[in-house]
Amino acid sequence: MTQDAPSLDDSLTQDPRARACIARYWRRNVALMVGLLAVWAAVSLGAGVLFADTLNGVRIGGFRLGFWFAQQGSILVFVVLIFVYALVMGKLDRDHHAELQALGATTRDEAGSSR
Amino acid sequence: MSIRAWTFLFVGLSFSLYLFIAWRSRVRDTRGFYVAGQGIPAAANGMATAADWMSAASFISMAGIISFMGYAGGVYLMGWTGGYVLLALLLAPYLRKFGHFTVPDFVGDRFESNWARGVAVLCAIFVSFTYVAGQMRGVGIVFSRFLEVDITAGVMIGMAIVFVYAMLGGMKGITWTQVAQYWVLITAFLVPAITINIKLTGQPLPQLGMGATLLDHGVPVLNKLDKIHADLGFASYTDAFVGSRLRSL
Repeated sequence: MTQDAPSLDDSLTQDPRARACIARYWRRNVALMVGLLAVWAAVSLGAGVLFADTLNGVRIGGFRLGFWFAQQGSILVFVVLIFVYALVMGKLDRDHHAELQALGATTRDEAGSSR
Repeated sequence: MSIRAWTFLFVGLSFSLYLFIAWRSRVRDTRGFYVAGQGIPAAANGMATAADWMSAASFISMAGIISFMGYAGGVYLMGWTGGYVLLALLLAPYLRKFGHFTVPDFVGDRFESNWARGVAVLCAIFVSFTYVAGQMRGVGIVFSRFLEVDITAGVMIGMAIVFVYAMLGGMKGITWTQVAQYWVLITAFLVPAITINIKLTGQPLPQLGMGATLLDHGVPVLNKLDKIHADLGFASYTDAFVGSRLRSL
């Protein structure tokens, strides 16, 4: 099956630096998710439904703003959200993977020199 | 050539293309069948997913429900598309990282509970059943018009074709077929949308055309739609629906 997650040997999962790295990865992941989902809710449920009447008072081009969000704006934002998530998570995955690899190398070195 | 001959030509060509792709990408192992051996490039996967968005149900009924319900139809648009964001953020990455083939497998292992697995199975069956029922009805209608048979026969013919290419190629065949469908569908969507838009408003971008003014009457498109709705006795097209009124805020 897939081996996307960095394969960690036991010595590395015991290493506090590696655990801190993994915890940091997860915190950033959750923060990104919460942020994007807040925008997700704001443009669709917020601008398109709950505050649609208020926003309809504003006109942009030929559109009333609330109506535009419901029919076009929210969907455009959704597409952007998916792109942002893919790009940011890709970078986060690569960075932390590299950090863990580096930690794994030093752990092996220390183990090797003590032997 | 008559319209009928053209229809046969285009439908015949696109189906031969799909079946050819399915034959070329036929698979023999489980990994290939369920996850396409994970050898599909990201852009191709994106196209296949987009082709799912533009399926028979959206082609036939989304346009109808939005013009029928006006503003309230926008809820379907937002839910339909917004679901992809939830899928991309909350489910898809973890399904991949856990290395499972199906959502119930993932949910069951993630929460270490067979109850959760059972609930996920029920949801999956319910969602797939609703989806397939809508799609198959759409396929049936298309085939019944095109081959001039009744809808039940149309559904059978459509199912037979899907069965052949799904069995041959599994997810690999389906994904590459969907990539081909993506190009066919997007052309079929854009050509009439842009043509009609140029004819009505004199510029090519449909997204702007909706907010533009009609060339013939000098009336904004949306005002015209509002008036049509009012004439038919519905609420105005651009007015937020009753349940959404939080005027005081």
